Amino acid sequence: MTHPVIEIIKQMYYAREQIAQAYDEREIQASPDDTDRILPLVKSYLMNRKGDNNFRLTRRLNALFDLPLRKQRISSIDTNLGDDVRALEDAMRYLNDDSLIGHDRYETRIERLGDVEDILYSIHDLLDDNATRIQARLDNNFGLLATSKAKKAENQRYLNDLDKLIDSYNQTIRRLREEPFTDDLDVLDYIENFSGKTIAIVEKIKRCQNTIREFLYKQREIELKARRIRSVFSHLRRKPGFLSDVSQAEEASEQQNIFYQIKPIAISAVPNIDNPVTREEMVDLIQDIQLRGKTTTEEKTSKGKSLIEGDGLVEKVEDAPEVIKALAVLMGYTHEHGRPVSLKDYWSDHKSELTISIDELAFESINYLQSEPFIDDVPVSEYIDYEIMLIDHPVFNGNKWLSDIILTPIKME
Amino acid sequence: MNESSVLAQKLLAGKVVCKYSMPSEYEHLSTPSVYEEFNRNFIFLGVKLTETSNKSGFYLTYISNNKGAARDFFKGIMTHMRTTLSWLEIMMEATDRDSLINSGQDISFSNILASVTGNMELQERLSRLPSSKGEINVKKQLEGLIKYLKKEGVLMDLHTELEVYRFTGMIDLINEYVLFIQEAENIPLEESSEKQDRLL
Repeated sequence: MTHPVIEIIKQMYYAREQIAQAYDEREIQASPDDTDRILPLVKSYLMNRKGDNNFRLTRRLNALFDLPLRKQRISSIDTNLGDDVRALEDAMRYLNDDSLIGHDRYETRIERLGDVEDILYSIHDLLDDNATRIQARLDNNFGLLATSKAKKAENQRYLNDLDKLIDSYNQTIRRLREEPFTDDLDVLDYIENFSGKTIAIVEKIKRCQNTIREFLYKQREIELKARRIRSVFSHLRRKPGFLSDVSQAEEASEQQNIFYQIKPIAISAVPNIDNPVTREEMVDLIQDIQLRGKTTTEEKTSKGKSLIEGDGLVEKVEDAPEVIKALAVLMGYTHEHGRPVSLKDYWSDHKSELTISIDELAFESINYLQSEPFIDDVPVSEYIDYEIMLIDHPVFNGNKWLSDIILTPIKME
Repeated sequence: MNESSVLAQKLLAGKVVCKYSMPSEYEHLSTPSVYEEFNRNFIFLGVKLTETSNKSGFYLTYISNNKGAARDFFKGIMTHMRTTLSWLEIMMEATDRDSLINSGQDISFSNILASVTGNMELQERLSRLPSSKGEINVKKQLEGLIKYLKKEGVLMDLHTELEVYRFTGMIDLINEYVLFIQEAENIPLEESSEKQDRLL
């Protein structure tokens, strides 16, 4: 005799075209020939009849194809252990049947105890299977970026299903602690063994629940933030001028770390010419500059003397005394070179162009810089920093001599 | 120059070292000992490492409570806020209006273009952006916006041929700026879209 499963597979093969069509189109309008092929499947509860000639796959048969075709987007789990508990109660009734007499009694008891154990294993497997499926779904699909409504509904469904499953499991455990299960020492052993084995599974389910709850909480947070941002968009449409008066926000910005971001700091350093590799590179660089200089010298000199001059600052001090003009050029020179400049070195290099002595330039520079001057309403201290270099007087203890002034450019925006 | 020096220079240049745009640098800074070492060295400059709200990037902030500097920075942001809000709204509407755009989120040019071309309001907003100036073709306008966002460090290339881009840690900071304005200016919340759906 053919095995019933093989028989069902044969029926399905015989109606394979109709099954595929019903799977794709949800329903098939069958011809008389189609109907002959489909009816055995209706008797096997694999297809449903809808009207005279219309047929659909049952949910279970549909799900059977979804799995290998990876169309099972949402895992559904069996959340009710009630059927298994009732099966256990039936098995217990058979086990305690007083009609068992004679020499077969022992073998029959062993066999019926095996049935009880099988049902307990089946509950264990069901729990394990459900927990693993949801866990896999969470592992494969989690991520804060997936915040669609469908994803939210899916997670909410898993959470509800897992809650129901845990409720059902707790009811099962309570029932197993009552009669008739407590009357049989062998069954009690099985139950203890079952409880021990399911602890890890229940923990896994609880971890899944916590993960989903945490995710749903984060999702609600994200949705709220998105709503807050959209509110700013809407507000701007209603009051187009509001961005020009955000005084409350400006005041509160002092308390916010995000507004203490640094302004970009430019770093420049002098290459170490003691390093042979650097020296080699420098030689190449100088040769390159010399080559280019031959063709562009004229253009470079006509560009002006400094960044400050480029910014129009020399013009701002045009009417100032000679020493201030010289100082403005010196500041420009400092910026042009982008590094600290010694006033002494500058004077030595440019004395032919200057009409003032180094002492005059140095002392007037100190007087000028210490007076906290402004150029075009901008404090000079925002363009230039200075350090007065003093050395001890060799004769008069406690007195100092002015040695040099180091001018350091401050990056201009 | 070693890896730490290059990284320090990037931070000092005001860059956000984010796990998507600079993964190896981000990983390096995420090591607690490295993080502490950087902060120890930065202390002389009066700055420290700070993490973005969703921990996807590092950037530098001043240690001292220089309130004037904070206000100046805020004013600097506000000068671009209208443009920022415009492109942010376009991107949110074209992706998922109920969700924030997060760092690490990918967008494809074709999807955004399809959303914009199918929505007159988004087209209108896109055409008003400075990056669309002088351009009447929607595709060209969107290309201009993507180019601008890449230049500003908000987007990075993920797949050049397929024109897929990824948002960097900058987007998290921008979200924070807008959320801050909503909170500080007490802007009332708009109704949730779920509620609106129900009303419809």
